[in-house]
Amino acid sequence: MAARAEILRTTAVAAEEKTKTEKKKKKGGFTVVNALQIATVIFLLLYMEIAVDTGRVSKIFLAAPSSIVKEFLKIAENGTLLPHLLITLSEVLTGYLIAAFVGIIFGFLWTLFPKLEEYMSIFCSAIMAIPKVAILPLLILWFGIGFQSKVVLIFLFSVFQVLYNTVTGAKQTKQAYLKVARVFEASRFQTVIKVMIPAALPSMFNGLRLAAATATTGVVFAEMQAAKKGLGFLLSEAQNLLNTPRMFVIIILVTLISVTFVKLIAGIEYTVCHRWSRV
Amino acid sequence: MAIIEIDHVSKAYEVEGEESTDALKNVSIDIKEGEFVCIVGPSGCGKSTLLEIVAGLLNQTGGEVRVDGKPVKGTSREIGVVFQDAALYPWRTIRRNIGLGLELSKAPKEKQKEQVEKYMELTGLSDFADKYPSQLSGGMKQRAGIARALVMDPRVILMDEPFSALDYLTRCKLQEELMAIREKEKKTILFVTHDINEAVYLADRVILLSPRPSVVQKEYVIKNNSATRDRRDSTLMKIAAEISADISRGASTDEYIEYII
Repeated sequence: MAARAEILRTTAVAAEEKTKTEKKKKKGGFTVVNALQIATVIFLLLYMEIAVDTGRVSKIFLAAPSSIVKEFLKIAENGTLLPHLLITLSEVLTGYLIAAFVGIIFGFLWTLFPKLEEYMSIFCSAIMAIPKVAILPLLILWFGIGFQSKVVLIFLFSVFQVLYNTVTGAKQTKQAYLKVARVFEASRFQTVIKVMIPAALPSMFNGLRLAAATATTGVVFAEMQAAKKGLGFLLSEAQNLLNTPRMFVIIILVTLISVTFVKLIAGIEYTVCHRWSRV
Repeated sequence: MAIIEIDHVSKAYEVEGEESTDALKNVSIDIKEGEFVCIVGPSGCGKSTLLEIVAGLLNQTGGEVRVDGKPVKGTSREIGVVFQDAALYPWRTIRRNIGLGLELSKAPKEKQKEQVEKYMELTGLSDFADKYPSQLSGGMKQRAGIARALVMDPRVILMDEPFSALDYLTRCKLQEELMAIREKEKKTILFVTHDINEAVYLADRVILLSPRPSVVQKEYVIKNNSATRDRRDSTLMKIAAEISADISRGASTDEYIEYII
């Protein structure tokens, strides 16, 4: 018994050592490739700066990094940016959260009642097949050019990704896991709650991450088409005014929002799943 | 009195556009209370199919399986199953995996805790209670698989090649532990394996199934004179050699041999 415990301990220690060295290797410090990457970025930024400053490239086509920073500070300080930013964020969050909620609930219900899926899936496929961009004019007609039409559009952009990933994940539950549930005489409800939904979590989060990326794209696009507020509106306004630095500011901001959003979902996934999943 | 009666069980698989193939044909085996029976046979001979039929996970196409005289219709509390690679739920800790059956049957919380602790102790898993399956070795996982079945206190335990994925030394260790558990818990065990040495080491009776369609080809009764078995016992080795010769020879059906070690 003691000998076994000793062996277990040594193997555990050995495994720990191994992961430590692997981590070291991964972090590995600063490599030549990293240096080249940074040099490339600096070179590009410098080139933009010089090309615009010397007039080799017109200010309308390209913005010097310094003017982008200046423009950002300007609209941040004079209060132009914040209201638009908040509107966009609230539209994305509202639409996304409703889509995530509805997607997960129906994913669960479809798994529990296959008949419901059979009934609903044809309608979902039909709605899913419509390019969301194409129904925007209708949505604007129905819900106006404000908050509501954007939320509905984001909802349509995101909900199916969450729904189908949840359902597919549940359907791919390992046969062995289901057999275990049957051996213990689990009810259908117990099987769904305690086996299929947990088994579907990685796939569900995959859907939530995809949806987070598309939601931001969707809202900016919708705001560019018809809106009086939001980053998309600010972007198309900057375009009309040929304010190139401002366009850069907004593009960078939107990218950052999208990346942060996806990272946030990945972070939630990590806290929920990292203890047991191998990833 | 036999606790499990496998009575002329057949299983045919329907494949669309083809004739149905027989996996099992008229298989009859009686297993007495407290007996340890191993089923061996070439791979693909339907050993696991037979086990799943006894477990109530699959329906046979002919014949009947009775447990305690009552025909098997679906799974039941009387029968525990240990799966090939443990099939633990990766999102549950070892403690909660072992407690799964009691949780699903809504046993009182007190009893759940008590039983889980008892069987974690028995299988040497107490120190790993709050680990997840992915953090455990194959041997530890299968100990948990066995504990998960034992916790429900079934009368019969079915084991489907439970040690086949383990390395040799771990496998031997688990075989010994299984013998000890069996001694203590007095369970009837039906054990499917393709490892002949494992079968002769563990079983009171080894049943050899023929290739498809499977029928009972031969039975080897191994009578124990001592409380423990020696893996290197010459008689055991001889029986193992005999079984493996019978597999390659395809011996005539329905023979019955008794050995005393």
